[in-house]
Amino acid sequence: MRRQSWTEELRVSEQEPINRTALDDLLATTGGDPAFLAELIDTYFEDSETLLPTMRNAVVAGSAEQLRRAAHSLKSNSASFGAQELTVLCRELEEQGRTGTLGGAAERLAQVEAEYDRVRRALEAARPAG
Amino acid sequence: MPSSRAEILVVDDSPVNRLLLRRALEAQDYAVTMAQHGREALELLLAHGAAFDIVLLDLLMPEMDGYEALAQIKDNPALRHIPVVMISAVEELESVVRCLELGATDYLLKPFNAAILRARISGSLASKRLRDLELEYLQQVGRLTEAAAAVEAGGFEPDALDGVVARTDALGQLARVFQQMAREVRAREERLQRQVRELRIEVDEAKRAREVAEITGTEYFRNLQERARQLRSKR
Repeated sequence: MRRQSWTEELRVSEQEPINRTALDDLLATTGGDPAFLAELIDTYFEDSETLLPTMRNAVVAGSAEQLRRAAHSLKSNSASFGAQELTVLCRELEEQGRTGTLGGAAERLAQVEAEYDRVRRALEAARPAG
Repeated sequence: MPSSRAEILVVDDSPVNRLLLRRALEAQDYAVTMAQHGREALELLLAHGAAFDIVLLDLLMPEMDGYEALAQIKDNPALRHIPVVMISAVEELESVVRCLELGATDYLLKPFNAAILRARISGSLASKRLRDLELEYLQQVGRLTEAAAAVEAGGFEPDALDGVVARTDALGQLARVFQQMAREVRAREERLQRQVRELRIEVDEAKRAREVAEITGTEYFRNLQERARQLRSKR
């Protein structure tokens, strides 16, 4: 019983960066076309690589509205791929931007960047070749 | 754009969402036009408003956000009948309430579920079609009453009712009867006018004959005739 609880805890803290079911649903929703999924993943990478520096600049400059918008976009995009942890972290940053309370935002952004790396690797592995 | 294929304007600044929505909507055989923010959407709507059956509108966007775009669409008499479905990752209740108060038809959360998106869009399209039909009916009733006023003023053109007489309902029947009666009245008027013109010509000819007779009947004229005859016989 004690051991089971420990493994359960481990599973939650080291959960997959992307939820495979969400990705399968996404593929089904969009007609089951692997080439389209590859295009979607590439677009997500391109957009993220603009959004993350925007968030970084916003935190440095103390621009709450800019942080809110960029975190909101990354949250929305990441949710479509079932990147749950990244979605939660971005939602927290978005909320900080919305309320204008940027205390601890730099640390949280570092978490977002680390989690995005995990998501990117998982999506690269899941991306259909071609 | 063929009327059977609904045209949807998707407004979203995220390239990922634009791709996803385009794909999901085209799979449902909708025609899709894209805008990247509220200002671009309004430009498209002002240029081709009548072409769009529904707008799918994101909220947080650069240039012009979804609240402002929604407010401008609903403020514009030429655009306000187009249903606007909000589709956003903004989860706050006050945002949903604000959009519905501004006139949004619906509010969907991202990431969207394709089945729910499909159901909400077909629901909005059905109410828009019903509204379009009501509007057309009222416009055609207006044309019929204008035609009645034109008959009274004497300037009625029967062809002005062509669109209304093609209807298969009671309004169409009323328009057909009206058009037929107006045509008969017009034909009778033209016949009468022709007869009046002919009578006037006859009257004019009789008058001329009478004037000739009056002139030729005078002694002066008879003397002239006599002198002319004498001159001819002397040659």
